[in-house]
Amino acid sequence: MAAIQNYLKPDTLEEAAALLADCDRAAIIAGGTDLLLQLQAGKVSDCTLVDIGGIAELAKILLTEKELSIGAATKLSEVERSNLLTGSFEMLKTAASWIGSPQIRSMATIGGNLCNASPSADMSAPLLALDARVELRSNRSQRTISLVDFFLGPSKTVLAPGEMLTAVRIPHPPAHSASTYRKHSPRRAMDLAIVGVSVLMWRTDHQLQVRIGLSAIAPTPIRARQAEDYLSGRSSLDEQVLEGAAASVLEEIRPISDIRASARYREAMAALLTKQALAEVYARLG
Amino acid sequence: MLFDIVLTINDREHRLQVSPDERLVDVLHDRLGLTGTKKGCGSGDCGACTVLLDGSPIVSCLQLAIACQGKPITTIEGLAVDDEHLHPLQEAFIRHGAVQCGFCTPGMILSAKKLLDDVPDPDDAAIRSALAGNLCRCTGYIKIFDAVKSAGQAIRGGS
Repeated sequence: MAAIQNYLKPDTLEEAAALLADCDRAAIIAGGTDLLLQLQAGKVSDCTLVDIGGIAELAKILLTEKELSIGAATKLSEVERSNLLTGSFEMLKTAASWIGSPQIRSMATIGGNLCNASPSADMSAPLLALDARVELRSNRSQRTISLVDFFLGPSKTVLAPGEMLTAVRIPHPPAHSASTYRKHSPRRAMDLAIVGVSVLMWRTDHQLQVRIGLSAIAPTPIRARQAEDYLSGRSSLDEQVLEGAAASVLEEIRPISDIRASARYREAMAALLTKQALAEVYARLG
Repeated sequence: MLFDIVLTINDREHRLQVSPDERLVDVLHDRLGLTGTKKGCGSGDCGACTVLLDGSPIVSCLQLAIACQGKPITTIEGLAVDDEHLHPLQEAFIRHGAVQCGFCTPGMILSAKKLLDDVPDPDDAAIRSALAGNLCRCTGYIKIFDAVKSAGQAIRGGS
């Protein structure tokens, strides 16, 4: 079986977009840590690989006045080590550092983590809490959409044939915000999240504003909008409010039972981690 | 379809023809006879096939050989200073009894090399996280951690 018919390594984004447009059965490869497993399992076959790992502009982390931009082919090890990620961006480093092993992180990319659309993708929850957008590009078009609209289901995204993810663009969090990412997994390395929870919190005129990103608790990573609405506008958080937020989260999630955990356990952990994350961030907000 | 590629392994250029789905571990072990690189799980979990690509540890079972062109590869065979002198990490692994069956050892040593390149004096937590992707089923890790610490000292010029 020839899983891969051809291998192409473009040097520029334009070249990559043209190759993807030309090719019927193109598969994009960057780090390859997920794709090679899919090839091995026979889930991808007879394809032309377009390797975007040699495109310099796709592997850059840029901090401008407007936003933070992370190129899709940026290695997770680069995210983990970047000194541009400070303040509320810092949880992106934490999330990256908990993925796989050092070997996997020096191969795998942030774009791959998102495009594989695993419900438990570690980068997804913190990026959702940070209100990240993703830049999608093809030979004919370029669009930037909210990350929350990018995921359609397990292994499914809105990417059209010939389209690729080029960058993750994250607006600066509000001044004096605080953030955290919590991952529940039995092992500290080489493990997927049973539940991932990320919280970003800030104050506007003494009123709390909150965004919550959740992973591994629904067919896609989600924003817990109902819990956000419940919390936003309050002046303080106490035990009762935390319980209320957890109750809202439980209404929003749709976890499954699988080899890692039962749905009931995921619900219990999602509620607990949400309360812990909110309490931690609230305390740091002062 | 076969492709002509050039791989730079342990400072030596190798010209060969590969099909695009050949993994680096198979090219190293089966075609170039660099049998120090072991294929354990074949799915990126065990770390036995760890090599350095551009100085960073990768699992060569999830790496296409064709994608490695233009980047230096270091395998365990490239670590010794010369035929007479092993690398301090290799010396330390022998001295501390950190090798039992030996299957994980090349990967352990290459992961540890990257750690010591970055952090000459790592604490226990740094050693644990640097070796988190390398499984050993014999030693229980303690002797491996001791060996890495002692190699760090040797490299820094201590005793």
